[in-house]
Amino acid sequence: MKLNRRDFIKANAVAATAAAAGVTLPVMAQQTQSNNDIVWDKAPCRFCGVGCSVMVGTQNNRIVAIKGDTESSVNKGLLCIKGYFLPKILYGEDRLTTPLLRMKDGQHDKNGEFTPVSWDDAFTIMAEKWKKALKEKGPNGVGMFGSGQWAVWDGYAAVKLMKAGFRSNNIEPNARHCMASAVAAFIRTFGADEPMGCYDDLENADAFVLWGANMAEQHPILWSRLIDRRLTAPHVQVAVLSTLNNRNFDMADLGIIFKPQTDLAILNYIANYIIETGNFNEEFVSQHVNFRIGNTDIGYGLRPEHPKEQAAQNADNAGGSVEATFEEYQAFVSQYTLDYVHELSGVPREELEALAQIYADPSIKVVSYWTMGFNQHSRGTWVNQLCYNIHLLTGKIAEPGNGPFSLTGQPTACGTAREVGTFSHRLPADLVSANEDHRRFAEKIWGLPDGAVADTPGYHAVLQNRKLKDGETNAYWVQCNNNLQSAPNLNEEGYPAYTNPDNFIVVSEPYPTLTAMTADLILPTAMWVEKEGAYGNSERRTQFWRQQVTAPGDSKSDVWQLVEFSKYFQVEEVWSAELIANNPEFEGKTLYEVLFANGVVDQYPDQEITDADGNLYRNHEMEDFGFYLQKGLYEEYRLFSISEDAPKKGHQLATFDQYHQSRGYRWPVIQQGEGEEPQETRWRYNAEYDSIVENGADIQFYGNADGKAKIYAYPYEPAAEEPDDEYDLWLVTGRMLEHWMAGSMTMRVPELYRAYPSAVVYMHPKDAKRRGLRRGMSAKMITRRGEMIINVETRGRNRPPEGLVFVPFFDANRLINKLTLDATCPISKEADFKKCAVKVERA
Amino acid sequence: MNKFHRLGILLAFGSLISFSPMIFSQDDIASLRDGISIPETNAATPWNKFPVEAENFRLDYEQQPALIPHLIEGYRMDLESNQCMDNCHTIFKQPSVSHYEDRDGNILDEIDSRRYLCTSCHVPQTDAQPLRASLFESVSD
Repeated sequence: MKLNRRDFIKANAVAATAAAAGVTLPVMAQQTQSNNDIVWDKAPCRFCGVGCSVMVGTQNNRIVAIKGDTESSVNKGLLCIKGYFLPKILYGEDRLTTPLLRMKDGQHDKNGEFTPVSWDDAFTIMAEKWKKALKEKGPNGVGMFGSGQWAVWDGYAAVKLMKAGFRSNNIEPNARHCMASAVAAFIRTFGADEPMGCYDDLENADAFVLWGANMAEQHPILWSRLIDRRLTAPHVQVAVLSTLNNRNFDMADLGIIFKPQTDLAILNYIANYIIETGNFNEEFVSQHVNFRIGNTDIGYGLRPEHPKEQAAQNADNAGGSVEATFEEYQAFVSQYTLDYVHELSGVPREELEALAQIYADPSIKVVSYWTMGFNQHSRGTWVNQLCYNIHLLTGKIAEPGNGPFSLTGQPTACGTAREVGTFSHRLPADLVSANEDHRRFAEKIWGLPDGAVADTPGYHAVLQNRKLKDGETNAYWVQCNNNLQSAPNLNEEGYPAYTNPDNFIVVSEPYPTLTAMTADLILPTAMWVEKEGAYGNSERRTQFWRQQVTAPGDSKSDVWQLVEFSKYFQVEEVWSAELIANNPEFEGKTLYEVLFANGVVDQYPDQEITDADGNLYRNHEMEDFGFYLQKGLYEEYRLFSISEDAPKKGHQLATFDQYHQSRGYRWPVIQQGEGEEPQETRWRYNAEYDSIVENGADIQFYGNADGKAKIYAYPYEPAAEEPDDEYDLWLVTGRMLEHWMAGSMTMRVPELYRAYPSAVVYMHPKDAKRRGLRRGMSAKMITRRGEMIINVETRGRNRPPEGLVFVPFFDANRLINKLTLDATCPISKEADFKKCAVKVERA
Repeated sequence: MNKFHRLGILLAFGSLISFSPMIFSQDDIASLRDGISIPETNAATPWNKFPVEAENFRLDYEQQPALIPHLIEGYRMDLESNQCMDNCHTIFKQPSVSHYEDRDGNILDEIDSRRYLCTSCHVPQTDAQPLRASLFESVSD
């Protein structure tokens, strides 16, 4: 983009004049438009895990405009296309405005027509179904499927309601489909969830390596920061690895295409290279690292009767491991020679060496980025950990510009699903339901008797669908996701699960999604800035927003629904007789009284909500409940992270008011004193930046009792289902820039829809030709589980190698998950959406 | 009655008398499959075409990114060159002034390198007819 000064001046006189005069042009500031009754207020973007901050422009109770927030260090005034179209996501013509129950002849009927009912009628029948399911099937007879797009207090209310109200651990977020492998790896390596670095790494690194992450389309603002660094610091290198060529490769110095699943081998090769070239950091390793060798042959998380599960030696002990020495680890990785890995992965030797050299060279600060390529992987936990290994071997971790960074897909899989613990096995602040001390701590914060918090394990996401299909879970509430479209193996598991006549499915949604249309009961739900909310992004930054507009018709927020629903249960109906007999002060109380009107959640009275300019904001939950629900929920939740006796340290969050008054803080957030700005933590585990690190240590991985991280040795193992003679292509699924997840919002924004209206299958032109196909023709894609007709694309932004095809999942009319396989990482239980075997023929 | 409650009632009245178009009848809802059952293997819709005639697209608010009224297929946007800029847009229909400010608020001679990837924000439009109408209303004066 070379442009000499003369051309520039000719082309853009205004900017040039201003620049020459040293004048800052005013339009870049947070200025309102000429129309002065627009109110501008900050909010995090509704979309991805970058967590850009936006300025929402409201007029007459409607959103009319958006601007990038110049005051946020995340995006400094820049947005991507989805962010710029945020004003339109609330205004699709088919917003749901009333509860709808399938009825025939005045009664609920799973095959009936959707009929408007009141909220009271909706909750009455729901409560009936919930009580029946609990009575007949126990705690896992009910289930909940929530979201990494749930506001913090939506998730927190759900955790309380399920785990302490219904005493069920059968709650999962859709984040199980995206971040579970990352979480499992964080816990196994570091003893604590979430990255140790932050986005400031982008302006400090010498090299960036993208491991299967399509940052250009899925984290565009981070990609723009990375490119900014690359274009302004000439020594910086960008390496991109993927199973297919995409937009990221256009900006790469080193672009590597590898065969699916062989990322495992490549990472082991790099570890081997680091050791063999004498570049492992002996001092760092001896002070800060323990070694282990993980169990192998761990199966694929398929149904237990599946032959692959039966054949797997360690399917029932997938997470097991033994202590090891460095020498044993060294011997283990020594098998991963250049020749072996080149043969296995198809990557040219010189590319493998160039990549390894980036990590091995002690003078190169390198950040590794990854998302679904690593996480949605039948060895997802392993591959995440193998990337930690190469950073730990070299000591390239927990400092500016140097370290592994697991990118989060959803806006608040971190802030809500992970930090609040909306998983079948978790509690807030990194605690786990299986740990009795952790349950006692939760009970103490919640003012509940010992034994109130559920200890029976619940079902993870993929298992929830299986149990719904098998009729073991009969009452199921889906909030803030479109799981019928997004979950793997729709034909064999998801569709039978939701349509099982024994099951009462409730879906809280703003729009009639595929999932909502399969429900027994739809609850109309408020979106984004129609409620007060909070999200936590990939770099541990929690950001708050105020309600800007009212939700249409009778729609209500997720948190309102959860809290209101709790009124329909008395403890006698959901707790054991023994628990009540031992704690008679709870007799006769509703779950609402026990969980929400408990003196803590309801402690903040009805009050005015204003911003720094004195603008007033509504809060529909406060209006309905008579107290500041969000503040009460949040300040109770905060106790999990700031209490002196919190079992896991280093998760401190700031106060409710502090978040509202700022662009957020990266936790752990340490209070500095009355009225002072709290101190956020940019690089965890590093004494220079993290005050939790004990005196005397420079680096301390305090998530583990001994302060050390763990390097696990894991081998390459093949994928669950690989191409064969009949199903001869790899099927990879994923997303596009223009559409968010299953498309519920973006397919209703005209400009985004017209930019990319239908899913296509990206194929190599030779693969197409061999099958009698040309660009634009209809093809039929078939796996062992289902089929789909779709148009063929042989050009465009995704250019797969021969032997592999790519399909995005946003399109309700192209249900690619009919074809995918519900194999998971056996440790994390996250499904592998990136690998199964497909054949493609003329339609 | 305190100030907040008065404001609340004012806002409630405001939303009743605003000119928002009516939302879809709740009897008529359908997923974007529009009645095609989930199990059905439905045919693909015909390939949508990018318009080849230049059109003026309406921008609803100041920072809405301009839509691209021409084909961009095959345009290079890589480390070597940015064809959008190299071919035309340094001279003709150049980007707004916002594109010349860097992360730290400095005004630059060239497009800020954060903004190098035009297609992060700017997209062309096909001739596809939206499946659902949008009831978005832009600023009223």
